[in-house]
Amino acid sequence: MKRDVQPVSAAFVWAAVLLTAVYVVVHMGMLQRSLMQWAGLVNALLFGQ
Amino acid sequence: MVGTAQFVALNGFTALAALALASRCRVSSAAERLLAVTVLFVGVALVSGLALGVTGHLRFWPLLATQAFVAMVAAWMARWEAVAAMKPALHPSRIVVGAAQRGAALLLVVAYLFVAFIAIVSEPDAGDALMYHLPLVAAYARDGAITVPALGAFWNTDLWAYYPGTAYVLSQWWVLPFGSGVLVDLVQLPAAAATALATFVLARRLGVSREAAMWSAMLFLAMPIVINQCATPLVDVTVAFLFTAGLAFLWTVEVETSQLVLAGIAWGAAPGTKLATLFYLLPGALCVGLYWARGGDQPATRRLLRALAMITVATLALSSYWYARNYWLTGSPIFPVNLRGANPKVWSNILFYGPLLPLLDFTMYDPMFFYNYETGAGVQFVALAIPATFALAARGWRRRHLGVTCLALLPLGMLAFWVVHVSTELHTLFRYVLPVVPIGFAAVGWLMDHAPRRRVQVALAAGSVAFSVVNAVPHVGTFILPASLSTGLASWMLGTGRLGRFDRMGDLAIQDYRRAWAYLDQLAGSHHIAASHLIFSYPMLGADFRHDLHFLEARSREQWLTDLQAANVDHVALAAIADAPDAVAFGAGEVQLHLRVRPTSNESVGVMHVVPASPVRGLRIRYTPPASPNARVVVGLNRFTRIVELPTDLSGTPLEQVIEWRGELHSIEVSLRFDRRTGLYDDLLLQVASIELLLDSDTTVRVPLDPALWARVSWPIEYYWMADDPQHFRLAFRDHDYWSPADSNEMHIYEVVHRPEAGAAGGGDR
Repeated sequence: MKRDVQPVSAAFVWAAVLLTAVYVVVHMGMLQRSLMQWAGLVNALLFGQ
Repeated sequence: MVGTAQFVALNGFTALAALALASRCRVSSAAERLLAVTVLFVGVALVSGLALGVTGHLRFWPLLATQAFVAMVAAWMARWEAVAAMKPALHPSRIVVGAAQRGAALLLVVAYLFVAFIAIVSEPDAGDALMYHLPLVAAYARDGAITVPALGAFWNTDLWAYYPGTAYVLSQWWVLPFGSGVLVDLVQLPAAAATALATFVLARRLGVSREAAMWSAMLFLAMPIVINQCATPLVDVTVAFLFTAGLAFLWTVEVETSQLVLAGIAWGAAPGTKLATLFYLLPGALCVGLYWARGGDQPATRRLLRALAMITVATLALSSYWYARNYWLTGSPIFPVNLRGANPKVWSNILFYGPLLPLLDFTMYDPMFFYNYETGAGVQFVALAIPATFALAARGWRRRHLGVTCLALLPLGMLAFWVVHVSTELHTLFRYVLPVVPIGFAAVGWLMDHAPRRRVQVALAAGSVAFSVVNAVPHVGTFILPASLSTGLASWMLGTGRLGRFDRMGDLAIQDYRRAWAYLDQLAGSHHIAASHLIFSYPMLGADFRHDLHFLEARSREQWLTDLQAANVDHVALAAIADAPDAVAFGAGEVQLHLRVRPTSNESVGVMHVVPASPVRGLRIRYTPPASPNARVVVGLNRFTRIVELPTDLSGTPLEQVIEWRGELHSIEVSLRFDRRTGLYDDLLLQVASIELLLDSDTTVRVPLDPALWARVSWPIEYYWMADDPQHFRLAFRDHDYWSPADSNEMHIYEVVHRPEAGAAGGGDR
């Protein structure tokens, strides 16, 4: 497919930003749990607790 | 060590053959040639595996000889200068560009190395894998042939043995060198890498720059569902690879014959991997046809017919076996799927949750928001791929390029299709959408090159990779149990036996299956094991798949026992939902209840006794309580019709307790419980010196106990009442803290002794 150089509207990019923000907010609890699990793993492997 | 050497040799020969054959292909970049290598690996492996599997020679050495022969012939034909020309393009500095991409790539490499490590040191714990994927892999390896093994019948899982087995044939490259499933969790790892490569090639063929195409590939690899599936021997990533690779090779108006062959292999192998693949191939072919209709020197119809002919020939060679076999055995080529069966629709799921699902990305399980091998399209799918597919579709529409528009809308179209089709279990949705997701990420690369604010887009891509990796990896295998992980690592480094994978702990939800697994794995020799209403078959087979599994569907208990004897079954494995069969064991002497503390629950054991002829007025038990202050001992009579808790306050001191009972007595259960109010870091030991039945005739009957039986059994087991042998009743030691009666995940294993006079040894080796 030949390179199509005509630019696309920036609206798609801002839509991506908005959706990213919503997704991250919805999954904030999951992120918190995940970080705690990472911390638990590091703690167990380094300090054996 | 031998297994590793055999693994390297087998895969090395097949890879050499694929590389040599790929050197003959006319492609336009190193990435395309590398993708050709991956497709040809599948082609060579599949033809060899099918030929040996159908003829009953699917063993390691015949397979190695076949691959060595093909590699030598291919190497003789190879154009090695074409291989050498790939080298500059594969330098890391050319693959990843810019600090953000290097950082994301490093994160992915570390994450996947860790995922591979987890997969090696932990046992499979994906439900579908334990139900039928792995039993089929194991059956092919054990039988040296493509067979239809007996599976448990829970959810009609026994019928799933008829599913097409291309992926299971390919899995033999990971299984036969070791003679076990020690690396079987990793079978999808190369498929994920190859899918990322196919995504890159597809993006490049959409006119995307190298840098943006690399983001497309990395976004696919960072998908939480892909990360989790790479430690799970399912088939969804493999299907994604075959579909995307075929599509990538076809996405050019001037398709070369060699690329047509490569696309034919990829799409020809796909129907043998999963029945649902046809739902992707048909719309995919439509997109290609529409794309070809726009340009090219040859008429589109002629190119389409050539492609269809090539794919048909490849399908006949690589996938038709499974459909022909099923037609021969069952009368339906797509057995066990019944197209006439009503597919229930849950309209609330379809209309309400369906459109929100990419954004919510949730599961049906507590805590609702977490990633696993079924869920987790990631932020990159909803936030990056979906807007990008709309942008690409709009551009195709404006350019009157219907093929591009259809291709761009395929991920959303398939999402809608599967929302309707699997509306009863939306948490599995992204497994079905996965094969077309690479199109969405190729569109992301396209949008990066065409939309303004590139820095914002790069930041979003890098952030998506980081967010997905950080949240996905903690749900892979044993991650959430660090102590188990460190134990697994230590055992792995010590090189204990078959890597000792079956003594590891993983997801708590299948704790009981893991115990069953460990129990059967430590039994000496091969055994005939009967299963009924059993959801997970794989644990029955042992680490090296040496046990044979039988599915016995008896109409009556007498029929069941007859069937057991006819099949020479020595162990029976049942889920709690099953009607329990009977088992027999005999013995005498002192018994020790030995509870080895595990992170989640207790242990229990059981033994059989002889019922006296006279009426019973009670029983007397002499025991020594456990030393631990939070252990409890409970005696239940007649399946806990009456429950008596024995004193444990004088730990280490022999005690005697009399329990009154009037009437018929046909079972005694002694339960050693662990109250988890505090930590317990040692074994629990309950010593039962004697149990005497007090008869109305003022005499006593000493209940015979069998130390050998106690010593052998180290996880919850029960021996049930025998209808045709009323002179026996059971004494069972149960774990009530962990197993509730309604827990359908419970599994019991019963040892079957066909000749009672042979004593309690039972379960002989073959």
